[in-house]
Amino acid sequence: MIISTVKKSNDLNGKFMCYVINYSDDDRISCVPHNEANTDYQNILQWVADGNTIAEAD
Amino acid sequence: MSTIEVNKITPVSGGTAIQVGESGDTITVPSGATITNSGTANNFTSYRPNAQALIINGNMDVWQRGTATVTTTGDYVGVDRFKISEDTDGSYSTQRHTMSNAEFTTTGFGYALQADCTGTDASIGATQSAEITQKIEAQNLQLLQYGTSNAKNLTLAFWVKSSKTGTYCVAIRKRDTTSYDIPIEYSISSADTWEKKVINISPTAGSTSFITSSAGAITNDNGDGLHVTFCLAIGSNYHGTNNTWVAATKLSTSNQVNWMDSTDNNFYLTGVQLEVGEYTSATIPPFQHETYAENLRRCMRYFYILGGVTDTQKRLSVNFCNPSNRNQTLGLHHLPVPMRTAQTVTIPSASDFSVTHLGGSNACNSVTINNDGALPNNAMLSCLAITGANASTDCVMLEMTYASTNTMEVSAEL
Repeated sequence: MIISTVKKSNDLNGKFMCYVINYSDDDRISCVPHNEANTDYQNILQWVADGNTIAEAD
Repeated sequence: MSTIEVNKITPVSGGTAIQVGESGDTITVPSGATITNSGTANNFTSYRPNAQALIINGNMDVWQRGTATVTTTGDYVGVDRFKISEDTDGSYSTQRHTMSNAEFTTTGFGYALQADCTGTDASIGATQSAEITQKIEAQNLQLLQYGTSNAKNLTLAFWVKSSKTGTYCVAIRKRDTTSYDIPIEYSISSADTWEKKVINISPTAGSTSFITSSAGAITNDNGDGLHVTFCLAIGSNYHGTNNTWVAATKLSTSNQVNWMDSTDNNFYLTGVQLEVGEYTSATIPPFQHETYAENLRRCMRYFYILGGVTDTQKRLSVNFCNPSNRNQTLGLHHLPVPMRTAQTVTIPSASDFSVTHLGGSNACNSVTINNDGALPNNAMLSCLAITGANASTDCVMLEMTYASTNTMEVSAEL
């Protein structure tokens, strides 16, 4: 799946929870924790290194 | 039957070997008798130091993502625990292959991973590749004693079949601390014929001390420890020397066939086992067959999917209402086994969810996953905008609506 956007998501108390990924080739969304052992988080880091930006939570 | 009573049998003068019987004879040790080895006993099947197979789903039984044909996008797409990678100008698909009776008779396995070249690349670029890999969790590999002078020999065995004969390669890639790779050639001799391959991996192959030095260690954690890679086509930048460890990405030798050169090409793989010790085709221990349930549970540490084509409703969690705002619910979805690490949760859009209660069902206009990964055995799901006639009444159960594509996936793959 190809990452389209990444946005921070907070819980009901306003505490950071996960990164929400939207994909350009898939209608689903993923919630990715901030954890370096998670390969999807590693993909986000690569996506940022490629010049993209993570949006802040609402 | 006559009986010979002696205390010792020795070779004739000048000799050092004794032969008992002839080829084809059966030498019987009576029940209750013991053979004591006070020296070196070669070629006896030895015990396994590992209670469970190092390769998970080596018999290709578990396909949580589906068994149908999928053109790979360089990810885990069908069979559990095997990553299907493709980065060439061509393409290939994978699917589950059900063995015929003749194939089952030969191999002893019911299923295989089938790969079919669907788009050709006659000239693989230097940095391009197509391969199939199982990544093994580091803490499951401590018995290898890599990083010490006692680093163990390994033996990789598998059944393989392809329409394209020639030299293929497997690569063992040690990932922790310093990364070291060793490409090893094998030959597919006969087209469209199952062949069992047995390949030894010495920690000092190529007369190096990479694996036996401290940089050869595999950290005792839940990270990426070792890759077992089956090569289909490999670009020249990743060509190394046969059976030689190297501190670089080297997946194959230059002799590796270009399997991507014809849409007539297929490749079948099953019965993958990685054993600690040095074995031959005559001495390799039998494949460790697990129950399907045990195999599935081991796969679920890395990936779990809820949903499919048979559920009319996919019940995710029993939720609780927000007492101050009954249009919101929060619930836990318990996972079957603790995941390897903080897990990614993937769900369909909010329109595919509803909240069911005694009075009926209401739509969810906004579904979120409260997943910080802090708990390896559950995911917290919330519906934050319930709409409909009964939106302010009891909200009990969060469900996904029926659709074969509506699934919740939880991933902690390596």
